[in-house]
Amino acid sequence: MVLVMGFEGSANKLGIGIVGDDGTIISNIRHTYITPPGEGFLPKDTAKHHRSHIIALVQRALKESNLSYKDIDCLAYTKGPGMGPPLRSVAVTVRMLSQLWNKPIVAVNHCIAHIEMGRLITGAQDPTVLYVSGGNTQVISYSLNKYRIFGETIDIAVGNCLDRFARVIQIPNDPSPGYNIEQLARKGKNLVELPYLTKGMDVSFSGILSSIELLAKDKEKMKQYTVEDLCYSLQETLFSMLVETAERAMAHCGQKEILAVGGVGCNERLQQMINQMVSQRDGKSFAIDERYCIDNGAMIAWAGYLMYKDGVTTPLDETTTTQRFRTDQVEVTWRD
Amino acid sequence: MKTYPIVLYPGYEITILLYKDVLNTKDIMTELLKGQLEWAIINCKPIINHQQLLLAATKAVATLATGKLTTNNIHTELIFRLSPNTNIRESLKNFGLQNEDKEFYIVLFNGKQEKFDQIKSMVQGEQIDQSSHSLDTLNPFFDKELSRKLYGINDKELKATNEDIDLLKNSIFNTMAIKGLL
Amino acid sequence: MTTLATTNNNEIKSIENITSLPNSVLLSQGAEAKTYKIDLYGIKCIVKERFVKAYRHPTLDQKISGKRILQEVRSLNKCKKNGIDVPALLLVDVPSNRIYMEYIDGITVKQYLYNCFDQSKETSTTTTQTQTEAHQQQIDICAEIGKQIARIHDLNIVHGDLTTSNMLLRNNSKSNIVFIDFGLSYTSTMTEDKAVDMYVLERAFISTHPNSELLFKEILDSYQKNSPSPKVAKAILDKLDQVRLRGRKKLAFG
Repeated sequence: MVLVMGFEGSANKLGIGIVGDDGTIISNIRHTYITPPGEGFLPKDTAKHHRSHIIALVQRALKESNLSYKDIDCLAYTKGPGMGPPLRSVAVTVRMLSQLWNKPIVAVNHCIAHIEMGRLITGAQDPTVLYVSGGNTQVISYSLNKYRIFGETIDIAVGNCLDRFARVIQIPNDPSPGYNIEQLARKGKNLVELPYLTKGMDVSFSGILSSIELLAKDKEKMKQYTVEDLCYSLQETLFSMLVETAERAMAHCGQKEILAVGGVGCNERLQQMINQMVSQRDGKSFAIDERYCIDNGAMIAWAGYLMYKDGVTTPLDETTTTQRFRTDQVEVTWRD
Repeated sequence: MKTYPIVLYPGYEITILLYKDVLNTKDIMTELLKGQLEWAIINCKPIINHQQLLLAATKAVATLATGKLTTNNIHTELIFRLSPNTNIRESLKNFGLQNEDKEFYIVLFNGKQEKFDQIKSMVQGEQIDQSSHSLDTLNPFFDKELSRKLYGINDKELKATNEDIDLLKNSIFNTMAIKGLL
Repeated sequence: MTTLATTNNNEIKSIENITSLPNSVLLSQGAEAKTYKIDLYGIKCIVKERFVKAYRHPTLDQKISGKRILQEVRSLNKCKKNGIDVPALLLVDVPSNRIYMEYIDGITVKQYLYNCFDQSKETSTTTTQTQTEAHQQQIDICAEIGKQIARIHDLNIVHGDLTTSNMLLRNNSKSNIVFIDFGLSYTSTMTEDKAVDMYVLERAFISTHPNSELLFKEILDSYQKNSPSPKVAKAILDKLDQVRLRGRKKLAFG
């Protein structure tokens, strides 16, 4: 069996995964850099976090799967998109291991890895993909050897909007700000009116963020609403926009399936809304849980395998990283 | 005389009568102003065909259904709905009966024989036989210039395609439909 | 019954369900609305009924539907008044989220381009001349698209969902493009918004029609050349370059 080890570190999660050629996930472990309430993660500190944990994580992955490095056929790492310093710190480690172990490297697009992992786990054939995370918000559809972006945010990502609001209301970043907003939102009752901005397939979130920030800081108005109400309203508004856009892409491309991936994709309210949407149009939705939704090493390993089996490897001097790496830049060789 | 069901409101229908050479319009006006008449009397010059009356009638019944009549009753509402103008007085002036009119439409909602008899004895004029008219037969008294003036239809709008009368018809319907929504 | 005005209003029932109308045909279910074809007093009529989105909070849903239906009819009306071919409105029923409008006889521009594409590909049965003709037809229609969008933008209307499925050819004539589905349209004077409108079209166009970069360029050329305000059009296209780049630049991490 061909085994690929995947390395992910484009944001604050450091993940190592080992995946077999039949899609078996042999190992998938993660270490997350968590900052105190009210603080985001800075690139420099995140890179430091990754550097200090990566070797231990690799050793643990091998140990818990009873494998030796000799069993690994290929190393896959995230080339981008992501934060520069964390990406680089992981790439450097991979280059080192590649020379130490004498293994080929495959450079992987992070977004593609999310999509392929989603397809692997759920068995979705040709879904419209709603890719929602701290750094990305895209509605994607496959056609003619490319994952094409049908719609996306024109300003900040949906996860970023949630994270930044979490900082405003000073809630913990553990396990993740989005998760804590989700819990608070369950207790929200009153819908606060927020801007709702979709332009064609594109969405805009920055106006919503500034509007809800202003509201949260307005002591007078906050006599009417609870923090829970704000979380609830924020989720309702953001997710409605996402589901609406995704539905339009499904209608436009004539697709029946939808797959949500990325960190925000494991939000249960979002999944519920997607289910309600597809049931109205006789479609099928696929969701994955936090093990595979949130950034992880296995997804990089699997996407790496798909490229590796088609003969793609990345020469050492090309194993660079890039903060900008469009989903539609990758030539998809492994799909019809 | 022609009777049509109101498509979206089962159980409702209108009957359209067209008169010409009417001699006693002033007397009819007097009756009208007393608010006694159970039908609408409509200036026929800006009406292109029966479709126009039916669309306005549908809208009138719709407003009745939601309890949102803008005017006093369904008959004035019909006239009001024909007009692009949201001013009631203006609308009644342009699309209702005027003293000097010799031709006009009478429209009844769910008309009965007894009412037709009343109309017959009230109007001293000739009822035009519309039995061969279909929904889109051009009203013989249609005044294109007046219609364009009342509905504010400019040359630019009519240039979009070449089928002249159809285009004008569409523009009239469109202008009626957008009433109150701008 | 004396007059209808004195009858009990509650007795009046409108048809809640379009499908209960005789001869109504469901044409499509889009993301926003269902469209039916009915006969309305001898007029071929499209009924566009926005449906309630089960996933959306009812208050939010109502607010959005109400706003969009008004935007839609206002944009349609403004286009029509300015000689841009759009379906004529017949009835607008805001409470039940329905717009009744003129049914347009004709194929979509999307279908038309596919047909041209097929013609140009059938090398065994067609001559080079018909291939050239098919190509010219594609060019012509793209020029017309560019021109008409420029006119719409000149009215400060942003369509919001420009795709080749939202353009019909009245009587299948390529010189007569009818723009439909203004459900996401809005009024704006901003270059940015119009540039994004073009960007939406560009992405939809290039992903729907294979090898269509050249055809899309024709749309852009004509957009500028035939705009009532060429300078403004130029500024919009310059902005479009930025919007394209921004799509790439904005992509961060995660």
